[in-house]
Amino acid sequence: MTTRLKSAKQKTPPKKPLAALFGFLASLQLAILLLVSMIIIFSTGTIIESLHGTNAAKILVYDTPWLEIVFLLLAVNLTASAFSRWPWQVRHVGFVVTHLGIILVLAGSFVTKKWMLDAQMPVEEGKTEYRVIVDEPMVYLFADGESWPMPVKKKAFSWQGRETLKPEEGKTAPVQVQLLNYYPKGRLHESIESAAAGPAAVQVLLENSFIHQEQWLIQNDPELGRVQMGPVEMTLTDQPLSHAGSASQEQAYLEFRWPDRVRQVPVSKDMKLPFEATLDGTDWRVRMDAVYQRAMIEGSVLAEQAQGPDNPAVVLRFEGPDGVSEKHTVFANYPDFPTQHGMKPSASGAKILYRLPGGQASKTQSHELRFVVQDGALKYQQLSGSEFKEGPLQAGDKISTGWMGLEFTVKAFHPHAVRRRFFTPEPNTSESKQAFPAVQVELEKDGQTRTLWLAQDMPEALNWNGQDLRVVFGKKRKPLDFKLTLRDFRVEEYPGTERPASFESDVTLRDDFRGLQKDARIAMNEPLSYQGLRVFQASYVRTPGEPDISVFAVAYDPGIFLKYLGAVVMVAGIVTMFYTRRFSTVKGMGE
Amino acid sequence: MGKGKVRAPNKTVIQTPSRRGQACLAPTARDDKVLLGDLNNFLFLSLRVRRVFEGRSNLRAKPSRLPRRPLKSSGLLAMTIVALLSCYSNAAYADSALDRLGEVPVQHGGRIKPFESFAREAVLYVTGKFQFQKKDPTQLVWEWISQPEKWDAQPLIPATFPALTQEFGVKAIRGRVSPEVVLGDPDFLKKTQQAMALRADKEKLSQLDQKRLEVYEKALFFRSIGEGSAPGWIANPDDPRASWLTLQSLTTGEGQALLAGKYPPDKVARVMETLKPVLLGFREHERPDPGAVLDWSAALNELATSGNVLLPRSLLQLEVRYLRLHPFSRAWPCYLAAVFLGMLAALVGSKKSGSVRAAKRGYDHPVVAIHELPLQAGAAQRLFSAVSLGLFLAGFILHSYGFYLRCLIAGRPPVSNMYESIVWVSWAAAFFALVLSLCLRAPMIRNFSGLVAALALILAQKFPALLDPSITPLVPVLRSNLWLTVHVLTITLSYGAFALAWGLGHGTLFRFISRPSEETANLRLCQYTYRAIQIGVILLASGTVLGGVWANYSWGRFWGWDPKETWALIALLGYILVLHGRFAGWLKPFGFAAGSVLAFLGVVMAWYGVNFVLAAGLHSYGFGGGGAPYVAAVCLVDAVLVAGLSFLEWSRKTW
Repeated sequence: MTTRLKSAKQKTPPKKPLAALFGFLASLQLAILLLVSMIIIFSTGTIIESLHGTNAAKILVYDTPWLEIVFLLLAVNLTASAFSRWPWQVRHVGFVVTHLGIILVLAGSFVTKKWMLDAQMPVEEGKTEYRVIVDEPMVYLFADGESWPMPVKKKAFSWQGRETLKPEEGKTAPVQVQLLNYYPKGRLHESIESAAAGPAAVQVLLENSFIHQEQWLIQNDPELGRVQMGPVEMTLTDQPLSHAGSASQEQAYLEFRWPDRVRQVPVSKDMKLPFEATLDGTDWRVRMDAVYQRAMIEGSVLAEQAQGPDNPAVVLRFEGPDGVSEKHTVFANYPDFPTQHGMKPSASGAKILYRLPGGQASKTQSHELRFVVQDGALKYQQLSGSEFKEGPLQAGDKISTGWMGLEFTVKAFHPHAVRRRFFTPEPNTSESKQAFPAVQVELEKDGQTRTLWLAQDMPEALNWNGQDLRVVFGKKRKPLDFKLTLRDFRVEEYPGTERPASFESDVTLRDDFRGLQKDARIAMNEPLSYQGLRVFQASYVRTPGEPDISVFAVAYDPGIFLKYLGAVVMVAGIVTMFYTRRFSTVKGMGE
Repeated sequence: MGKGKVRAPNKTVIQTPSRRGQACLAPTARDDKVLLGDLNNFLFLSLRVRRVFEGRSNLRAKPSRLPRRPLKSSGLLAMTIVALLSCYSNAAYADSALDRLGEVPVQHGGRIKPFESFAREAVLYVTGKFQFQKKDPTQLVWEWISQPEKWDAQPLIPATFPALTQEFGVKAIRGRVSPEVVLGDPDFLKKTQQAMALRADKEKLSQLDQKRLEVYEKALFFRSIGEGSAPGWIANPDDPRASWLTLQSLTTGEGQALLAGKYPPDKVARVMETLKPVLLGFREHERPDPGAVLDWSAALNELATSGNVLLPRSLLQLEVRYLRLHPFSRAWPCYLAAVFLGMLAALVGSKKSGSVRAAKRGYDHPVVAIHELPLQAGAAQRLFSAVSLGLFLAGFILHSYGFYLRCLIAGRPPVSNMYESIVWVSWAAAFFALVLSLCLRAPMIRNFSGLVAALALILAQKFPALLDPSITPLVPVLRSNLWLTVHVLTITLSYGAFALAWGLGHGTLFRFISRPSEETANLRLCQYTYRAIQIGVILLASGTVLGGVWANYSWGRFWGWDPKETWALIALLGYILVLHGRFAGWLKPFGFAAGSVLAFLGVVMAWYGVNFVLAAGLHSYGFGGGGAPYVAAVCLVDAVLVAGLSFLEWSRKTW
């Protein structure tokens, strides 16, 4: 009986080098060598992935040219060993078919790798998108309405060095960009330092037996100008709060809140309605028309209930200069509810609140801590319910608020400060919300240089001798042939939990070129196919108060037919082979 | 049973036609002789055992054969055993008050389940044990509900992590702390807050912090039960997806107002009235009056009916039956007993097989010439074999039944976490062994698979903290029954075949060492290993491809180097390597057996390692932690064992 090994040996007479090469390529030795090396390579790949993340494994193992060479060798080995049995006989069928199947799968993978598209496409609810994000890092430079995309070579680990970034399509950018640092994951640090000019900044430590938290506040900063920490709202501003009002702790009151003013008007049970009052120091008047203890909408009218849960509410008219007259309905339990019909904000710019005595309902409690900078000096104001307190402040002062044992200390105070951002390398596998892919670039023009840290998808703007530049580090965006509009996005949860059971998107696909518009539903395991591309429901982003973002995966795989065909052929071959092989008998086993 | 499926041996079996198909246990005129034969065989056996111990077991052994079709009698036996075990389960649950309470439907964890199911999950989660203070879980959880302040002070929650135990100091009693201690310790709470802040920022947590959070969450969960805010008892008639109302909401004004709007007030009042005696019963007598429980469950039922809430009692009953019968923990003793008797049969058979002259009649189905055997030995061997097969079948039926019940309860193939996959893989190993042993007429295959299956089931039952037996909902991407069934079941079936090959491989290795002279029998066992690997390779290859098809269908790519798929490929390559090594002649039968044992390590890695050690990739649904050092140790011991046996074999051949 001829075994593969023997036949391979028979066809390798040592004299002819070509035949010897063919013999080696067809040999079982090479097959076993390849099997062993693949086992080692793949397991190394998974270990790298576990330790250093998917991207590192791809860069170091799976997407390398040498792995392609291993696969090529495998294909050659499979082909050669199949032809070494020529002319084939019936007993070779299983073996030849199996090898053919594997070759087809390898060919399919090659086709896929060369021409595939594997991209992400986040679409906000109500918005239309035609671009997809592919996993290729880029630095984009924008100036004067023009853009210069510059590809960045992917790095597996934190990298330091110097690499010139060249714009695509041979364009010349207004500034030279050099890559200095590349962190696949970098931790964002922010230092706030004293400077000659800039907004004021304070560092506050808030503590009691449960909380011990430090926080920077920056004057008029959209992010750090006003910060909510636990029950306390902290503000750093140059406008002191002017507080006036006659409300006491034991009484319910209406509160009118402007950014720099608070006015309080007591609401008492035995007050004669309608009750009018002017707000001191403003041009605004209020007239209370109705006060409810258990308000409920009946029909479309608000009315007092005899029974039922408490729902205190006040209906009032708010009148000001220029003949403004607004009707507001204020609910004590729902301070965030719009008070004016049609969800309009008040023309006065004030927010109106109905507060109950002694924080009767916890939702009505608010504690405001306001740091005021005037002429380089700091003072604090604290407002809790109707209680108001203020005083001068210096760095290092510790002041007790009287709320839940909370004390605050000003750790640092800079009348003028700058914010500096930088990154430190972080393990690739870090999932911290403070860790982002980040690069440091150096911009150069006419001998002048500037370095800049860029976190992924966080644009930085700078002014270069009067020219406005914007630099973004992000992934490459590619246009599709069609547009997708996300009409609706739904998540269904398992009953009684917040665990998602399924999620799906209603989209409208629009192809201007082919003149087509159609509605479709994309759900888990139910993709949308169009022109060879498939759009999958991948994930979603849900932030309270913001529209949902549905994330699609867009894929194009031209090699899939070859792979499916190869897989079927391969499995058929294995079955045939096992059915006819000689080790199926004890006798064969003994050989 | 199964007569048609069993292929008659194509080589002639020398049997007297009158005996063909005759049941071994059927009463015959030779009953007394059978008994005598048993006695006789017992003596032979003791002789045999002594010889084994004396190390002179050079009797020419033959693998035990089943000379006739024992299926009918074995099948009957299996049915009897299953029936007996089922009766036992019903008898064990005689306390009708608890019984009734256990059957009340509640909503928790995204699923509606009988209270008993919730109670078991809750006790397991909070205490880390199936039973605490030997109390029935339903009883214990009701005591938590009725006397929260008493149990709040009991050391319920395990805090065995050394640094944590140290932090709790004297407050930890035998490695456990009470919810009161956990939630009343400002220092602990402060550190927990910090850990939670870190977790909210998705920072990496230290192991101590993880354990701290675990303890904290367990204490909170206990409190939520004590306060009556978990589980949900009363369905929302307007929306089947909404949370059910809890006991706590029955007592608050808000909850009552909500109920009043949805259900007739008299029915609501009835539920509250009937609850009181139940609580009182637990408080004062440790157990309520069955009548009170009946009233309460009836009141709840009526309430649901009055709101037109339809709850399929049959499914709930099925889950109760599953919990109480607990088929898996009954299956493994059957398997073990089958293995024991199967070995007895083999011993008895080998004792007498010296006179058999059938060795030359063919390798595939060598035949034991029954009429040449002394009657006693043959009868005893037949008896043992038949009983062994019966026990194996009983175990297998229970195993399958448990699986079937779980399928019905979960509404999907139960292969989505480690516990379920271990149960399924062991089932597959038993199934393939049954098929192979009947097709190849080789009962010894069952012995090895019986061991493998029993081992797996014991493992699944004994480590509840690692292998959570509760039925939980699936993540969205897995909610495709067709693909889940086709892909995952194929892959895990292949694991089953490989597990069988692993067991058979060990058997082959031991046999080569212990009985080197019995070449044919050794080779035969090796061939069975080969068969199991063939099945496994076909299934794993197709399963991996099917996984690619699903991935293409669901994620848009056929192959993405995800660790789970990569390791499935590595495991496959490992077996292909062994097959090619054997094919090239580099691996002799012994080496082949050793290779098939070692190649199983690849399966262990793909199956367990990816989820519990690498913990990376898209197949992250079953991710968990723990146990890695033990698994690694077992793998290492196995590898060392193979190396040791190989060394023995090598030195035997060399010297």
